[in-house]
Amino acid sequence: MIADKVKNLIKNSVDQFSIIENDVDEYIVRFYNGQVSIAAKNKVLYLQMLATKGKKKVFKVITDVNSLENSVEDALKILELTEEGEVPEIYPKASYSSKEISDKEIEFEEALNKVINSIEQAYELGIDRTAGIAKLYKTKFYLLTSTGNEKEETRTDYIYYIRAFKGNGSGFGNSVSTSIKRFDPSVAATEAAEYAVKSEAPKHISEGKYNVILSPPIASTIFELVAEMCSAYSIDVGFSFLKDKIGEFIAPKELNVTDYGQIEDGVNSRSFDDEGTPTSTTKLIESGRFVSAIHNSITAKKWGTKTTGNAGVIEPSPWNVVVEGGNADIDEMIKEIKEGVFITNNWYTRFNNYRTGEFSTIIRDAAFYIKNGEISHPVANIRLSDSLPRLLNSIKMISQNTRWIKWWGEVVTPVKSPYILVDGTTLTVP
Amino acid sequence: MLDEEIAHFAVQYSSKLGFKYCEARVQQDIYISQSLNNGAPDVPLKSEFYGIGIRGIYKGIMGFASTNILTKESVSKAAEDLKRTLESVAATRKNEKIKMSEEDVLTANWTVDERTRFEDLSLDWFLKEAKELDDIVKSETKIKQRLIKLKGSLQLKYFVNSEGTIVRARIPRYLFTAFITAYESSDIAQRFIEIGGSGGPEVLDRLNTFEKFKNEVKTMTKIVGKRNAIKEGAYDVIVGPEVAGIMAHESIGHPFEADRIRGREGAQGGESYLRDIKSNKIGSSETNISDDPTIPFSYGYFLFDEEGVKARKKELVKEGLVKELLHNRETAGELGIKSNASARAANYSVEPIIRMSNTYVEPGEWTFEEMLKDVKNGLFINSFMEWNIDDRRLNQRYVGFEAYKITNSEISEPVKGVIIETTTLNLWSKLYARSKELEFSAATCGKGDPEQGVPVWTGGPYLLFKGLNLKVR
Repeated sequence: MIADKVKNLIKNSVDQFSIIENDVDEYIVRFYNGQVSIAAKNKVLYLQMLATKGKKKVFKVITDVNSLENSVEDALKILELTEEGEVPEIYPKASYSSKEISDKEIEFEEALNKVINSIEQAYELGIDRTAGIAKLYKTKFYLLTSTGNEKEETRTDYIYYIRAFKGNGSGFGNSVSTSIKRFDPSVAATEAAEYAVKSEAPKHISEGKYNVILSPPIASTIFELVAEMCSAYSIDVGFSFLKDKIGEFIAPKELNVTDYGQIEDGVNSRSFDDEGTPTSTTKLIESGRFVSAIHNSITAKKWGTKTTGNAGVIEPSPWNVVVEGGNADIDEMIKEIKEGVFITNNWYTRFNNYRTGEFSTIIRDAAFYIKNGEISHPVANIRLSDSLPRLLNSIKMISQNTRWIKWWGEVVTPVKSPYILVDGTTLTVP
Repeated sequence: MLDEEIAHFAVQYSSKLGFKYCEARVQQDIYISQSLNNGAPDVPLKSEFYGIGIRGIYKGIMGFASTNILTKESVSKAAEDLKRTLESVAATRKNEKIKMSEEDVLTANWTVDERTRFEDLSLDWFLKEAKELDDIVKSETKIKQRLIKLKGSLQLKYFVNSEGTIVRARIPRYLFTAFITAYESSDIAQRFIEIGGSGGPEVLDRLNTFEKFKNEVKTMTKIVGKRNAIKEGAYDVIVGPEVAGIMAHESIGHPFEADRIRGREGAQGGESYLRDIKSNKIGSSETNISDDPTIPFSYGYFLFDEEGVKARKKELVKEGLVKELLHNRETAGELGIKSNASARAANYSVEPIIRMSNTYVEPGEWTFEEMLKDVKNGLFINSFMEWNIDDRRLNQRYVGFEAYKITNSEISEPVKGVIIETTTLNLWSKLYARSKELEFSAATCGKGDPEQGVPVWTGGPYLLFKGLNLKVR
């Protein structure tokens, strides 16, 4: 293991270190218009090294594995030059337990067949065209710390998303899993195609306030943002509306949001963080109340609390976010709405102000106007413009069904989310 | 020194395996960054990404492989694994044949002038410079939260393809970013600032980084707490170069990427209105928008693209009409034309895809004062915070940060949350005049999956739009 070589190179020159070796095998199949546009096979072996000496610290990513001596020497030089300040604390001797949620190897042939069949299925439903991607990863992690910790674990991640187009409509589907057994492009492609067909001829609606049902893809955007804003670093530097809100109600009592270091189908699972701290399960919102920020050792010290195992050496980040399902089913939610919109997906979320939580996001793919408790017709060309505190406080119903979402650009941290019904959000039209 | 020999070996070996077209890019990207959160130095970061990316066509399918282990054994295995992967894919589907455009076979070396070489710069320079920038803001009592970051990078590339083209490149870049929050009574104002270019660290002086940041801080403390809403409706609006630049980038640059028009990015960044519109008229005759990677010291600078094609300026929209799209060799080959060198890759481990470089509205003949005189009563929106656009690049929004009423041809009180929300064709049809200035902002443009952030400039002059509908947040 190259991490062992680096350990031997630095152990006598620093006080603390955490070295993580990442050995990644990646398969990618991208497709559009029924054609494979590119297939890729990537292999990368790299190290993340965090080291401290006295009150100095450095973090280095090393991919040039053929000149480890030079890389380490360079890191030690930086360490000398950096300014004294708070240093991370590498976790003391720990026992890590890796959950058995992954495969031993990436099952490429089986995954490829599932993907190709799913595209065929989408076309059978009468769509015009598709575009999408399957990304399959096997990562072998190896942790070594100055505190004597040593841990190896292997993760497999299967991520697929597809868009289907029909006329002026489109639909989105997503399958995310840590095992080929539960990897299901077929369900995702069918949903994308069905939504595309149903939204083929969208109509315009007028700008105004609507009660909306947010499907798991768009609800995941919201909850990913909320979870990121629970990061103590985000709160400290202004990227969050949650400053001074610990212990306060920020949502109805039915809402529970938790970050899991490891969980089945959470494709960002690991048993340790970048400081060697065992990852854990952290309740962020419990019965509507913001109960905990997420921390690494530096933010924890600043806040007078304990790390939650979410390092990020600079910024603590959530691992896998789970929003607990509620009692409602989707038909009940639709019936509840006199006039509103059922939204299946979104994209391009940007903030006017992170402190106040004001943001807007483009409604993408199928959306449907609801009148008197029934889906009436597809709509297009709308944007959701709101603030996170108002939106969270206006959640009226939460579905029983939840689903994992992770896809390009919009939901980067995996989120398992239900459908939610939100009162009185603003939908704008250009 | 890059391992050039391994790139030639990769092309020869892949060709022997049966790849019809093949290229290899050995690339090293080194990043150093130092951030200060509310004045406290974060952990300094140094990242080195060094490896080889191999791209080739096998059984009619484009394939890509990468590895950071630069031995002949490892590179051979990467090519063999890729061939096996493509055989599996080929067995499932029949793909249309890929035709790459015919291009000159050339050998080129290009670099960017730097007074101080990246390798000679140590971390204490980043720390010292970041602290000096932080000094500008730390004594401002209204500014309560701040994140200052200074990042330098060096990109070294060696490209070779099976046709015999060879390109060597060396590009150092520097980027200053700040995120600041000011409070005054119940008003909270937030602003992102990005200033960057290619060259030695002196490029930050060339870009007047300290002066610009001082002005931003001054503006913020001046307007926070004093911003009022306006009445929604149609206004004559002057926008600053920063706003002009994002408009050009989002509503013209992206939809002019030929791969989007073909549908290749359909599941990610989306497609383009150019698939659907019947006329090639985009806007008024004032609408002149270009993309030019050859602007010296620009953040999106390059002289040869990642397919070994010589870069040049592209006039995307000329006098309101579509003139040229952004192409790589694959999209140009389909149309039987030459590539205009728009293929870029963020690092060795990703395929080159069609990208912008420095996208901007061409300057005009007016002065800012003439614009003010013409407007009489309207709005001046100098910068923005929130923005987004739909995936066909029609429905877009820009929310003003520094914005003022224009009253009797003079800039008067600051306004809050003013929104331009319109469609591409409506926006550019209302463009009435362009000023003589041309200013740029640095940005990192995202596209592709795996996500590839590449450095770009967006820019333009002051623009005068007539009768633009404005909303309020």
